[in-house]
Amino acid sequence: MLNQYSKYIIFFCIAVSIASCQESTEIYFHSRVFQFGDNEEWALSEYDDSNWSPFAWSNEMGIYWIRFKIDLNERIDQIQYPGIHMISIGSYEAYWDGQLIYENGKVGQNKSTEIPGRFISQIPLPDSLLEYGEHTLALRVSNYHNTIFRGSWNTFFIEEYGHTKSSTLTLTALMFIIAGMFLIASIYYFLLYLNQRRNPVRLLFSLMCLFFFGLIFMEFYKFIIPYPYYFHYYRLGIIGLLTIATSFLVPFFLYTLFDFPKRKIFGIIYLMILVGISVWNGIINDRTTWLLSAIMLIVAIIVSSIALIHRKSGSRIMLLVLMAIAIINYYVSFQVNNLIFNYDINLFLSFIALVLSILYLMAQKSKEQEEAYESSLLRSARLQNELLKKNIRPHFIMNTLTSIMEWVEISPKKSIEFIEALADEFDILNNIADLKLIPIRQEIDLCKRHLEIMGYRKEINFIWRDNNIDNQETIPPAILHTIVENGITHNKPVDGQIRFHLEFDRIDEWKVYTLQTFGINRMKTKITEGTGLKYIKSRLNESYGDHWNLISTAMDQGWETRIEIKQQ
Amino acid sequence: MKILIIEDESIIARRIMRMTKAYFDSSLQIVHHCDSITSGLSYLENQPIDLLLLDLNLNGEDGFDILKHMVAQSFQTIIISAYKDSAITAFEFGVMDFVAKPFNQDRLFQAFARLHHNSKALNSNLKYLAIQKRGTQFLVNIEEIMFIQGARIYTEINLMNGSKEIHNKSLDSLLSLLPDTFERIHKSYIANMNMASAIQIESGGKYTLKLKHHAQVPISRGKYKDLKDKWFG
Repeated sequence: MLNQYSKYIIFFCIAVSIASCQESTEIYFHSRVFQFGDNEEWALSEYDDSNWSPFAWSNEMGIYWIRFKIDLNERIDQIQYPGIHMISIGSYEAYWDGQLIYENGKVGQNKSTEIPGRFISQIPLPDSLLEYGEHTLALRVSNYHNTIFRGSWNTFFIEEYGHTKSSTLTLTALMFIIAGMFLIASIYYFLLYLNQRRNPVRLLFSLMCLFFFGLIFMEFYKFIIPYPYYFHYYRLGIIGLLTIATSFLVPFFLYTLFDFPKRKIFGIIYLMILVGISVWNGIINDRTTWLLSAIMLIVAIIVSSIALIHRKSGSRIMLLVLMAIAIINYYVSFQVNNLIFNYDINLFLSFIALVLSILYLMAQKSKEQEEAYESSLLRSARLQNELLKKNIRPHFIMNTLTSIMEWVEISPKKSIEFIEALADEFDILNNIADLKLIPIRQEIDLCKRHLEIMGYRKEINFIWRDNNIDNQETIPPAILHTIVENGITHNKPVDGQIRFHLEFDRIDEWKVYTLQTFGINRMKTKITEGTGLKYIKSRLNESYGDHWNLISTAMDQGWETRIEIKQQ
Repeated sequence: MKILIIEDESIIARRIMRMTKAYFDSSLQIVHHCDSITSGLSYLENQPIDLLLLDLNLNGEDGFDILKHMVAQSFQTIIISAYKDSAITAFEFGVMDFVAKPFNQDRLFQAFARLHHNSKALNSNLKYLAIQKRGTQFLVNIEEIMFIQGARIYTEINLMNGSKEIHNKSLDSLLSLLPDTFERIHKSYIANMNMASAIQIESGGKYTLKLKHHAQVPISRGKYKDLKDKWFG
């Protein structure tokens, strides 16, 4: 299974690297100056812009001009169909050596007259404009739609017309395949969560996949849909928020998956740290994104390491995958000069590795849960069977029937009482056979009936006493009964009597049943774990998990068994 | 007749005792009841008995260790138990009868009757003889027995490998346990007829049964004809 994953990942890496490594010629401008305001003459190449600001950035809304100088030489001949690749926060008119060559949207005097242009545009350059030497590209820009995040800027380079579009298409297509995978996984796990709402792991995984999908979609959206310039900052904002969300969810998910305590406290503190860092550095900031991803990876590694120390299932695989991601991203990739891919692609490939390994772990986990559930069903059926068998076991029933025969022959009246007591015990057993917990009174009745029968059989005076019983309490069926059976078997009477005393107490958060048997212990050695004790333990496990103790000790005049149940 | 009852259920013990008294009547010298194996064993140390009535599943202890011990002794054993499935094993070990609970008087009397009549119908299941040696018991597969020689109150079991083991039961007692292939061929001998190869007639009207591994056992004059008809006819 893992082998298949790794094949898929390797194939994908090769495909992406082919797509992203094509050589192309790009020619950049050598100067850029900025002036707020509007004047037709500013389009002309001979205009003296020496007093303009070199800081080409506008925090204000309005119309401004930017003038670029670019040198063309023989490198331009390497480009077959030269074109300008323009990135602009604002609608603009482009003047090449004073000649209007392109309009992106419509430059306006206010928000209503401006028609917003695209963030990225491709402008073809005819050969007639491409003589060797210096050229001026002047932009007349209006940015009235850039309302929420101020900050307007423009940049460009000359390359093969339409090149960016075609080269990124393969990469984008591959990325969208991944995005689709995340979306499907997200929907599937959300539906699974709806079926079983108690399991937050599935919901968290679904959300995580949804955010991965969102991140990839928003990141590569720009390559397939030419969106208006004002949307650029919204897009970056959404990416920033999604980065916070994924940086939070990945470690939080692992924390939940490995079933660590105090999940909420961990979640709140961790989220506050992430939000703090984002607000401090600004959400729309590459540094923030990088920092958040690094923190995500570090915290995820810490959580998995602690899980490994606690020997949680799957922690080893998770830690290996995370370490591999860390090494590839922050050592191989960055140290070796972004040798493999750029930051975005690394991140998304990491998501794939992460999601695939988590899918593997969850499949493993649901297999474990299924097995545990099935074995619990089996155990319940086995315990029910054992309870029903109690009174048809030959030792009980055949000895009882033989004793009845004797009473019938010797004292018919007493035999009738005997049979009635037997009928009562069968009746109670029949009523409780299907139940996991029964009222304590019913259990006590069962013990008393049993003692009555054994009294007729053994001619021993069995005496039952109980104290401080809370009638509201319940107990697994026939566990006191089993202790009483053992008490009868392992004790000799004192003056023809064996006494049983049941006491109930609440000590702190514990409910304690103490059953004392007063007699002379027949066994010289300590009682080993017979089927009776196993039955009691299985029943306690079934109803209380690990929250119980069973203590069995010899006393001066008999035997004491304590059942301690932790209140939940 | 001296009888010991080991039974932990007092009503059932009383029932067995009542029926035992009714059956043996005046021939009964002693009938004693113990409610546990431990007390039963200590009783046996000092008191010789002829018959043991044993409840096989006593207080959850492993009855077969006890059983091995009991069947190696000189007395006969009748098991009275609720566990019918252990009957076959009990017979394999050499008990005289196995009475399943619940039982009535007729069934118990039938078991008692086997003390007198040497009917062997029930004993085809015997597989082992338990032998007591230096305080412990071990089992001898009856197929390995060549012949058994009576020596007053005990017997010598002669095995295929040439060794001899002493058994505490008398020839009569053993014969009532052993399957049909074991024949009383002489006042003092029981032979395993699966081992027999020929009857040799010697001068002076002496008859000898030749067995495998060059062993031979005398045949009493009175038994010769029946034996010849039955096994060599």
